[in-house]
Amino acid sequence: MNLQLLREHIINQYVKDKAPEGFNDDYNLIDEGILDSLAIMNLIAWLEKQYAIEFDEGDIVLENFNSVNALVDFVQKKSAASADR
Amino acid sequence: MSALSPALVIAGAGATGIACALAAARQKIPVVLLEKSDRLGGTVTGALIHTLGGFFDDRGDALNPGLSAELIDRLVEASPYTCKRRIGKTWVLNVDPAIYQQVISRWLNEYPGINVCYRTGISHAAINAQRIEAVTVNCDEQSRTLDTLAVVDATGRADIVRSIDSLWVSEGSALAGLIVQLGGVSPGTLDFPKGPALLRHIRKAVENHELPPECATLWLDGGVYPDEIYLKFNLPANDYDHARMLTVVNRLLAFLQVRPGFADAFIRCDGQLGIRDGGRVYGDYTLTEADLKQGRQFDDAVCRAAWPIEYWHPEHGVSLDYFPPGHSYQIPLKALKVGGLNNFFAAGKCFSAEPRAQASARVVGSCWAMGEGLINAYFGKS
Repeated sequence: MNLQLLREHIINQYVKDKAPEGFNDDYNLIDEGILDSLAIMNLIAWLEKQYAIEFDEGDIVLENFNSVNALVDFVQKKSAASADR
Repeated sequence: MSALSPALVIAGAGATGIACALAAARQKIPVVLLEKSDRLGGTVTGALIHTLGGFFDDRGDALNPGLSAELIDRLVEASPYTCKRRIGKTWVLNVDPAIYQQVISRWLNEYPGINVCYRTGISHAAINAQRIEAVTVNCDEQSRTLDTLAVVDATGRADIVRSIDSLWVSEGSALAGLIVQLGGVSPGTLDFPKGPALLRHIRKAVENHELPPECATLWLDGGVYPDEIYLKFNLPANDYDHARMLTVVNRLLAFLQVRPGFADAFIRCDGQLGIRDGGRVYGDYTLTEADLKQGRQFDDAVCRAAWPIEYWHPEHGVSLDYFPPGHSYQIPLKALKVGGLNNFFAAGKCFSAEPRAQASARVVGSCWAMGEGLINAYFGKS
């Protein structure tokens, strides 16, 4: 699984020119306004396609979206759970 | 309609037309404001827009002084629920469309020099020596002729320009919006990220044929009051059937009423279809997407704008193209001048712009600033 691709996608699609000072994988994407509702809808669609996972309604919670690291952790766990099925 | 002396004739009592009227009245210019419906406020009040974009830059600072800033003050004063709100990377003014209508109605009434005529349109324009010298207006099956200082098409669909020459208008194809206010919703029901989770549930239900396809591009937004949310459907404007859409809304409401927070939900009000791009004129200059992205400055600028390029593609839905932090662009007077005539303008949603440039400049804050800037530029106020 190429998680670097996920980092690059978030930066290219949602951070873009904003490049806030101190941006890193723990930077809060929600509080800083980088991911809004539309961005989350688009990101979910991209993640499902890219990583062959499916979001359950309970997966759409702040904890899974508030940083690049949180998203990477979530996708890893979700992929592992999918593979176990 | 008592104006006998030549007047500024404005068609359309939406954001642009009202800003034109107020700006002119402050210069003691007689104004006749023609509105084809029986209501003030244009798209904001007709289509129930409660998140007013285009007044602020990405830091939340006012983009334009003058009437725009005064409008915000008046709306805030009129209701404790009016507030500036951040949505993603943008700032909007959250306001009840009914409060907006009250405020602009009172504001217009402060100026006896503004003559507002409802259920009225222009049927003919007399053109001579590159000027519109007079227009014929129809009201209550009667017509009369008004001598004109200048004419502004602020209809949003370039109705007046079309009536003179339909070849001066480029048709739009962006999706339109139907907005429905729901009341009786438990406060906090859409608190982030519950909104996206609910939207996802709705989209899955559309895929499973539990909800009609019109719900596939639905958007949900918190309202002005704590118990309120707004349903925003995005639809092609051609073949629109409001009665059919109300059956869709009722099916969606029944679907939502078994969800947490919606047990007591009810339809408070449904709007008319809000047209995002009802056609743009070919002006002396056409504002381009490149102008926006380069933050181009113009010698004849009438206002500043900074809303992202919010384009509603007829097949692919919405895309938001944000500008860099602190970025803004200008709208020039020459993009409001039509047909090579010296005193005829199209301002607001139907001004001369590429579709993706219009997708940024069409928002209500830009329309207020465009209207005021046009009048001040044309009649010479700096």
